[in-house]
Amino acid sequence: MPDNDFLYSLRDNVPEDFKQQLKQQLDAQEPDKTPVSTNHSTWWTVAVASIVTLILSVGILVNNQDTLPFMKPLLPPPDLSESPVISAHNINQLHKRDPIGLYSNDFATYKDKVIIGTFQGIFEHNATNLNAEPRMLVEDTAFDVAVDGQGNVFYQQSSADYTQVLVYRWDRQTNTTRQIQTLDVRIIAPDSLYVSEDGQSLYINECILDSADKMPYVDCAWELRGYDVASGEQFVSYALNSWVYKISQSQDGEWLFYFSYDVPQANVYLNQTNMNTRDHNTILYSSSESSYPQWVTFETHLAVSDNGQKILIRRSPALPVNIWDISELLGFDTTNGVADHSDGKNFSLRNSSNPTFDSTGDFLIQSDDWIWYVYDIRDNVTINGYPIEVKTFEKIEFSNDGAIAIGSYNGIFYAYDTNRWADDEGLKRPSEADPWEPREILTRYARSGDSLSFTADGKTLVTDQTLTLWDLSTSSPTAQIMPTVEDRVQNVRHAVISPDGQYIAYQPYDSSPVGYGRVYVKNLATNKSHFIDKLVTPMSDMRFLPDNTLVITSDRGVIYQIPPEKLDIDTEEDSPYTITQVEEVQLTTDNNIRNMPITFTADGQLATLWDCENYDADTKLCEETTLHIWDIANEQSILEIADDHIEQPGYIAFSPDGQQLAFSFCTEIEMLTEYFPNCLSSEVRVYEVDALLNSGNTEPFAAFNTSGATALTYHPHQQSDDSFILALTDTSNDGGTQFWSVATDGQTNLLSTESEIRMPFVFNPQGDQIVTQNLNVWGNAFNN
Amino acid sequence: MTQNTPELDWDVIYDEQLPRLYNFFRYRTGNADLAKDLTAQTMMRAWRFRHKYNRDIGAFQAWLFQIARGIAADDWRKNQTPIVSLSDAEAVPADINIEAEIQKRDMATCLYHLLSELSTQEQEIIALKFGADMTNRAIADVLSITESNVGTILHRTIKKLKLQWELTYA
Repeated sequence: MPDNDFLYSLRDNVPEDFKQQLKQQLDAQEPDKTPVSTNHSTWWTVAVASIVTLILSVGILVNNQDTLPFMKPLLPPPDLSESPVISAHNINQLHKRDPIGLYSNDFATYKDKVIIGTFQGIFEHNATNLNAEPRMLVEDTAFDVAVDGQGNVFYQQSSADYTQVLVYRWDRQTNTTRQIQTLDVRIIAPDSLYVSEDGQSLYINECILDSADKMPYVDCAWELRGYDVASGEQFVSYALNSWVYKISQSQDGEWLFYFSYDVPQANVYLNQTNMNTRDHNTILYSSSESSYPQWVTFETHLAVSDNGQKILIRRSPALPVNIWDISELLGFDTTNGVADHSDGKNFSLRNSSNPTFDSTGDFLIQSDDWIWYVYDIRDNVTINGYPIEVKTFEKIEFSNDGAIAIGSYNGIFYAYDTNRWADDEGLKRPSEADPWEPREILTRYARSGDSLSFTADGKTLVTDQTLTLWDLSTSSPTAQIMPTVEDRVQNVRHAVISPDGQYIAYQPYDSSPVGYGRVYVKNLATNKSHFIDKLVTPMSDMRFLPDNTLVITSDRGVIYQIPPEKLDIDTEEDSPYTITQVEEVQLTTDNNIRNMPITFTADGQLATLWDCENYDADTKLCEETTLHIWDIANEQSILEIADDHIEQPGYIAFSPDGQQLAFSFCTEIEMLTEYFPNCLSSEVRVYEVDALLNSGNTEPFAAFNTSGATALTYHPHQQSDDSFILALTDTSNDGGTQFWSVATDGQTNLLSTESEIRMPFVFNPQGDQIVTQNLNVWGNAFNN
Repeated sequence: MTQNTPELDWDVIYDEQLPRLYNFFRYRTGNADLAKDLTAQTMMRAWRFRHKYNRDIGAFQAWLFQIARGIAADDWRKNQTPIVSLSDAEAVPADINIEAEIQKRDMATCLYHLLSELSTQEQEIIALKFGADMTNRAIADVLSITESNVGTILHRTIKKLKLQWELTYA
């Protein structure tokens, strides 16, 4: 049996009867035949418009890569800096501006530039000022990027149907882009797009499939193919045993080095090709060579110094690396076996990540365990190094002059001044070392946030994950507050900033026994952090009230309140320091619905939570549901609204003045599986809080129907006619957001159906912008 | 092999994606009947809500398989689907070589047992690669990880599976 055939054992043809039956069911469920339970006719308009948009999008998509939906060119964004307050009159004119967080796929350096490929385009930053506005080289998706000696950028992406690989070249001189290769039904091994220093030759590692039933990556005939960039013609092809791990080139341009794996035989080959003669007859090392045992196939690593003088092979992280002067190795013809060349210099590194030469070839640098480790290979000296901000970098690149080292982790880029280790005095021992702090941290490429929080002036936004502060007027990050917690913390789950901007509270992703569930408070002025002595596991919500009281809720119905005077501890001790004065309010009954945020009025005096009778955790349905309104100061439930129609309660929101309470619940549920309820339509009820509390009137003063399950958000300002804007985002099915006007007399009007906003969002305190959880900013460019 | 679609033609999408989905679920559940059920749910959900297709997320296939992942995960979470021997779950038609068919199903059952020992991410990547016949790039889009990451995980996982396969089956 061929080696990988067993991997197909579970594959089978679709049973023909099943295929036919399912098709009939689908044909019978055209959307325009689906019963609609909403009572407003605009649903039809939106649905049809969306379908037409989708069809047009995909139709164009196939013919023109530039208009792929996710490659939608970023048109010049409307100027939202003077966005008027969102109101019933201009709600239909919301515009989206650039996302403030991008996701990077790959990066490369050219001189003092960092070139970053993203889904939205290729951006070029100046490494000496990473957070200056970058230059967008190309508005196109780029997976892998490679740069030649003239700074021209090569990048690749998939065709829309993933059957082709497209390779493009952006020309620095003319600022133009052209497609230079279209590779049909082939797979490019990752990280194996390589362009020669002179920019004339492009090398790609490809998987050639000779029939349609062959499996990519498994049935490949692997080839390293060279293409002439000018003509696009293939000029060479080398058959390989398996995919290429990494391609590198000697600086004189004469030699190309690459690793390939022979997976079935567990062999690793280091190949070299003479770039001038195109001869490919040299295998420098093979794992089958008896003098080089213990190769671990997928742990091997290749590095070539930028000056083309040194080459390094790591066979396994646990073994010493071998380093050679390249001049010793060139031209060994090992067609009949590994040549009789030297073993090079054995060099013991810490068991760690991928070592990289610095620009001189005299030093090795690697990152691991929150430290840069630096090695002087001239004197065989290990020089432990400098604290870094992440556990280990995924990729390290140096600027051409070697002055700057760029490390990337989790989409964030860090630039370091390498002069610290290359000065005349040599490197310092760790105890003497100055903190080797990054001179720039580029947070533009931060991942999406799960929580968003504004300062009261609306100018600063904090996002979680990397605790980044953003200046919303420019959509630029202004600071990244790395958690001053033990090394185990890398990302932050939930973060909020106090209204005055002085404190940040956050809960990190910390799975350690001592740290799980801890909440930290950091004073941005003193830079000190504390943590509360209660573990909130898991947290359902956290927020600062207007007076800086920090309120944290767990999904078990417990509220922790930390008064403003307790946020700072009078101590000289370093952080963290325990805050012991936490006031607890236990709202719970055993029937509290988990994962439902507890909702507060703006002044923090009232809170709501759902209580569920006979909650079925499988179906997520209740037999009967009661909404409790709690008086926090008196720690008692002051009102219950019970309703046996509410099987699946939704979100709750108070109006900014605390006088309206709105919630949603599902009115039409379909079970997609036995245990998978899906909300098709909802009812939204709005209550007058005064009437609820003072007269016991539990009838809603306004109600309307909407599609899907909804998250509710009130606009922070009362409108000129005293109404409020209530935004309902469908987070389950249709997507899209509806904006409703809720007047004080109970009249409701649908103001807008903004179908493009599909993510939960928050209004900024000024009410002139919306920030979604995927870090898009919406505002209004027109002064209506 | 996948064809270019001149427009969003549901018939083309159906013919193209149904085998991918069905086999993705076979790899994820090891159960042919359950795979049919989950495939149907995915298709119905995608069809009904196709206007939800988020232009910011990626290509249609990525969207479809994100739905599929959610449905598979939900099913697993709720049912803790037991490993069902495919040889028990399906009747063998009379007109085929029974010995060969039983061997094939034994292999499938064995593979599923091996897959069930992997991490969820490894299982998903194997299912997307060998079940759904997707490229690493497409998998990267579905899982929101880098293509390099997919390649690395895939190779390590295949290596692990091969070792286990030789120990337990061969």
